[in-house]
Amino acid sequence: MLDPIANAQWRVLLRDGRLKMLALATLLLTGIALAGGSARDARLASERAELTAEDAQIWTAQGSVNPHMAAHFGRYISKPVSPLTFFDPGVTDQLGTVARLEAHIQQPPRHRPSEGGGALSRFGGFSPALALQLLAPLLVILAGFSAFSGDRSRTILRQELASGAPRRSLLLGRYTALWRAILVILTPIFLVTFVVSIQADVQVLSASIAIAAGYLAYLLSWNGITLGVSALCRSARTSLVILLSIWLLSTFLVPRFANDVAARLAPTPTAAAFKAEIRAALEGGPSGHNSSDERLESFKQATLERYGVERIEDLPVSWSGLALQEGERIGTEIGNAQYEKLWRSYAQQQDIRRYFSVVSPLLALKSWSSGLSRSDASAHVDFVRALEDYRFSFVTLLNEDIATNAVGQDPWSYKAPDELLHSIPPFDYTPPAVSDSLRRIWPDGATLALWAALAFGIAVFTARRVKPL
Amino acid sequence: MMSAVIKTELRRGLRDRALLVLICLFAALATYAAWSGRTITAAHADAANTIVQKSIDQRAERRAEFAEAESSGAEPSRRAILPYAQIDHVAMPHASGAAISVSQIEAFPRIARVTSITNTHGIFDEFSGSTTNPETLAAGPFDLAFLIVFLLPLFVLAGTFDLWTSERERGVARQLLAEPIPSQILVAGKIAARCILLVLPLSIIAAIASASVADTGSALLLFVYVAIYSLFWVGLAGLINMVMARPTGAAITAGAAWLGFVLLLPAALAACLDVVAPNPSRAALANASRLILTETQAKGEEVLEAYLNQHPTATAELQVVSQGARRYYAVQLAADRAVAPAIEAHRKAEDRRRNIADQLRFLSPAVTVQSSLDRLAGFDANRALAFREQAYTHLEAMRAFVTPLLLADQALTASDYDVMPNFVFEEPANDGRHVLNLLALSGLTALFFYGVLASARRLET
Repeated sequence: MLDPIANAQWRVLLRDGRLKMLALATLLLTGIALAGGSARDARLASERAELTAEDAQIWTAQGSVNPHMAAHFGRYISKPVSPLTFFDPGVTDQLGTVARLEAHIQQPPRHRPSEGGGALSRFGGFSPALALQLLAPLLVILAGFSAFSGDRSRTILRQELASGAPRRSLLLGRYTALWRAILVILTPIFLVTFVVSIQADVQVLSASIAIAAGYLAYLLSWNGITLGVSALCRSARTSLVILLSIWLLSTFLVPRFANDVAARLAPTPTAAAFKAEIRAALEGGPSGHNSSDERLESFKQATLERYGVERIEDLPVSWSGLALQEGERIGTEIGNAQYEKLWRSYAQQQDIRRYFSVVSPLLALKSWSSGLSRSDASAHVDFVRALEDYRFSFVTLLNEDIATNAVGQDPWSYKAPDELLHSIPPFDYTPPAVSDSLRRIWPDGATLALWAALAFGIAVFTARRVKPL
Repeated sequence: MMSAVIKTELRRGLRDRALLVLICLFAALATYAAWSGRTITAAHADAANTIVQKSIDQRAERRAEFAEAESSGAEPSRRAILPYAQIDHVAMPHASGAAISVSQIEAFPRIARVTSITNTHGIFDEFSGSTTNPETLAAGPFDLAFLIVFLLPLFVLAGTFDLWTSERERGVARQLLAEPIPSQILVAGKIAARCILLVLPLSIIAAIASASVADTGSALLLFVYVAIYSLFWVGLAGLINMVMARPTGAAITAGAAWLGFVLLLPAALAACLDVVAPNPSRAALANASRLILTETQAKGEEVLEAYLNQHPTATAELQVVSQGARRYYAVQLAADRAVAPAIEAHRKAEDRRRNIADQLRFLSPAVTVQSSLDRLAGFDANRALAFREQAYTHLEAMRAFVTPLLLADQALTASDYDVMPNFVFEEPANDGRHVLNLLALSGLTALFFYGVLASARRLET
């Protein structure tokens, strides 16, 4: 019984010229976005590879230099482009693309693509993900809003029920027809995504498969909601108005409101306030520049004890180098504490947004999709933490060189040989594995699955009570 | 005849509870959006003021240090007498309508750290990173601009999408057209009544909400923008009603028009902009600047010698400043000169992109209105660039003040602190953007209304 109904419904959808146009438009827009995203990512990847090479050249061009001056000169690390940002750029435009790493202070990455734009930048960011998040549900709504309500007014529903078709089969037939429509939209987009992903690695491919599953659950939610509302309403017009209102609230208003509420309940400081706070905290501790700083007294005593000498002049290492490193350690701890506080507020905001996904599945989908594409705030935090580990390690190597080789010399006039800068290992970042991302975003995946199940349940519930007239 | 139609439509409209609900909902959202904008701008203003005040306090403290030294006969500290000791944090103050549109609040640097011996390129570096959650930035704030640009059209369309199609559906259209009233008057009267019942209250509410967080002038201008932008959507709804046969079709078409004009067209324009004039890489510029600085530093002694040759009156015996400081200063100046062509090329590329974006705004009324509201809020590129230039000018003034002291090896005195250059932001000159934007919006709106009336004439025939 199911197949004939599904086939009949599918034929009705295929005959609708407006739907065909809309589906083609959605596919065309998504295709353009895919091509544009791929081209942009390729350009960015090559630009960043170039920047990394330039930084290495500039770094070693310092030649024989005082190691701590080199640490202050710093390094510029470019953020690698994640392989799936062509599909879902997430918050990429809002993230700094380059981080300056220098002694004493951790700085947020700078040069955000969204900076320096005009009014137009508020409207940018169209991507395949956005097309599927906003336009595909509209397509489902337009394909299904009259599935029950329109057939009722055209008396088709009465004929179907009179022919003895069970209500459950009527629903499943319509559900299957819409499901086919969803597959028509999703299949070509994800085929392209899979092909691109295979060229990266297995991790990326598995992430894109999980992303596809998320979009499928999301659109199945809309499938259920659409049929549920259509079965509930007496006229196609009413069901359309209700469904468009739900779409508007769920995809547009609630996500914006959720972000606003999250930012208020777990506020983050402005960049200026954050910087001032870190500066003030750092001023409370020794930088290590002044090796006679009284705040280094306990460290000095511990060092003398460790080496079994009574005066710093008797140390087999440069006290100034040790003092610089101790200052670095203290400064890093202070900076890390401030940044961890900031990251905690990001995580709290994410938790608050999750509550809103109860009324807007889009919030769960965005988190799922950008989380697996490594284009969300958490992926950025992971990158910034890796940067900070690297910053501390290379500054430590430079300070240790002073401690080892500037014994009995003025630490500021000491110059290390060229080889020192060449010996500093380059920054090597391994993004978190898909399993790590899944551990973090599984509640969003579960929410999407629940939404799909709940929406199907609503459709079944309302279809059981559907009346022929 | 027209007034009779308007009166009838007004009576019908006043009985429509849906309109009242729409207006009340808009008022509630406008109140929230105004409050939201104000809290965001207040947080940014507080942080910037604290930083700027610290610089001002530092000058006052050092001035007081001299006074105390004079009375006690002690020497002022070295940090107070070094010619290049002063670090100025200068900030762009918020405009009086700042809370209206805050999405661009982090788009440009608003604080600069000006020290006479820093290189020009780096004065905005300290506060260039963002700490706001990128998810929040990507979603955008719930401010008045969001309400007006994105949601207001939906309110207007919800109140006008079935302006004429509902008459058709109820079968009244034919009867109305049989009346001895020209169909243009009939349609124009219906539109005028909806404008009085919907556009006027929405515009007044938006203006009142903005007046609670901005000056009266900005609120009045915002009223004009909201009214014309609403009329644009009324005109569009009118046109759809002339073409579509049923309210369902009209609703779908109106929704598609909103999606197209507010989301897809601007997104397409933004994508085109990225292709035609991609953002020049600031990271590449930073690398070029660093490379030049490294090379100039490597030739430090040579650079210093050339600098001193240019200033033969420079004191040779140094007591206050060190030769190292002079070398550092000379290197920064030389590096600045060497990197100037790269900065110039970068700025030209940025200007080209900005100019194209400026032209593209006329293609979408949503972008035109957003650009106008950004200007009202003072978060537009024009004002930010004026601040950038003024910060550079302040740096030059500080250098002009420091250079003779550094060359003459002179210590700063109390009186020097009194004549040290101060930064005061000057608002950029009016470039007529509001007039252009209003003209563009009005032109498009007039075109739609003309289309409605022309279509209405065909209804008669």
